[in-house]
Amino acid sequence: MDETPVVIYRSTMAFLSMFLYARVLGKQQVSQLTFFEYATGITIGSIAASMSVDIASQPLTHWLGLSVWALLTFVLQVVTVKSPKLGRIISGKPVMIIQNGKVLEKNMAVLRYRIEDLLTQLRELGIFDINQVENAIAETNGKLSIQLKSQFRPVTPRDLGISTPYEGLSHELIVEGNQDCVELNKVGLDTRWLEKALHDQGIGDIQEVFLAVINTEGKLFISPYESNAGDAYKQQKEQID
Amino acid sequence: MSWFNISQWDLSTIFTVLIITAVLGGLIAANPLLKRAFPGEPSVDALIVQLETNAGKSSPDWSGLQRTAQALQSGWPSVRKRLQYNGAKDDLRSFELAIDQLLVAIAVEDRSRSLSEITLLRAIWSDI
Repeated sequence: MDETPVVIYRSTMAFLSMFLYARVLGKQQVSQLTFFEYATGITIGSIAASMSVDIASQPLTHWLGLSVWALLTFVLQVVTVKSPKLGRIISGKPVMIIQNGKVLEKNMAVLRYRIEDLLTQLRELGIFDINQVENAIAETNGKLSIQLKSQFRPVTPRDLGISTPYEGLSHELIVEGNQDCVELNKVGLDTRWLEKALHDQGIGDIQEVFLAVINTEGKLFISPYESNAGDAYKQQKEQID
Repeated sequence: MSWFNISQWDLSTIFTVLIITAVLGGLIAANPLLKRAFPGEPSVDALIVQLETNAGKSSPDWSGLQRTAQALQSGWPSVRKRLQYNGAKDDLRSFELAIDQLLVAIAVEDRSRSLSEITLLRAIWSDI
């Protein structure tokens, strides 16, 4: 028996189901997942893989299993959001590892967290001297959040009494040769203004631009396509240089 | 529904998810429909009933049983083609094997073995 069409059909079904459930279950990054969520994700993926290639059994059982796991995960997510108490039971809660500069070895023992793990995570955060740490908390996703002692914190403009201008988000006015009218309207500009601004920089057509971004100061950054760059691109580069 | 944030999950999203899930589920669970006889094909169900009736008699019509079993054997590949997508390969293989063993039992006119093979055919067919 030629099994190719069967595997193609089942793989497509598994792929579509996984895609749908992944969209429903949210946009959390892998680094933000708790151990339970990570294990759930692996289980769902593993069931989908079985559905795809295990042709010795019916795909319906795999698909039902996949759907039930996705549904339970979704229910758990809703419950976790709606009930903080249950959320703490399900996801656990952050645990203090260093408090006022003192390492809490009992809390570390509860988490089965070794001193090597702590030092590694501190080094990953750019801290090579544990003396600099005022407080450290082990988060539910396994990451370490730290608060440095005040004398080791980076100086901010506020510390120096320097006033800083407002910096909001930049707006992308042209992406890959296409003008974004919504973004243009958001910053109170129109196509005529954009075309004039491009013309001033020696660009005749919006389609010659790969990316154009305007910041909150009204400064326009233009990056033309390399093939169409020509004099305008060179001119802009020279200005930057 | 106050516990559920409907603004995040607007109705069109919920319906889209439900419809796609229903379509996928419907396709994957379509075997009961695909087991029905298509035009120009023998009905596997009817053939098994014929085999059961004939073999159940105290003196079976062996040539009639053989014709029915052969009709089942020749009609099976086309049925199998469409059932293979949602059926277990092991079940499909076992069904083929049971037909072969039934033909052998009929050839040697072994009534008890024929009956046991027909029972097996019925069981596998309902599992597919």
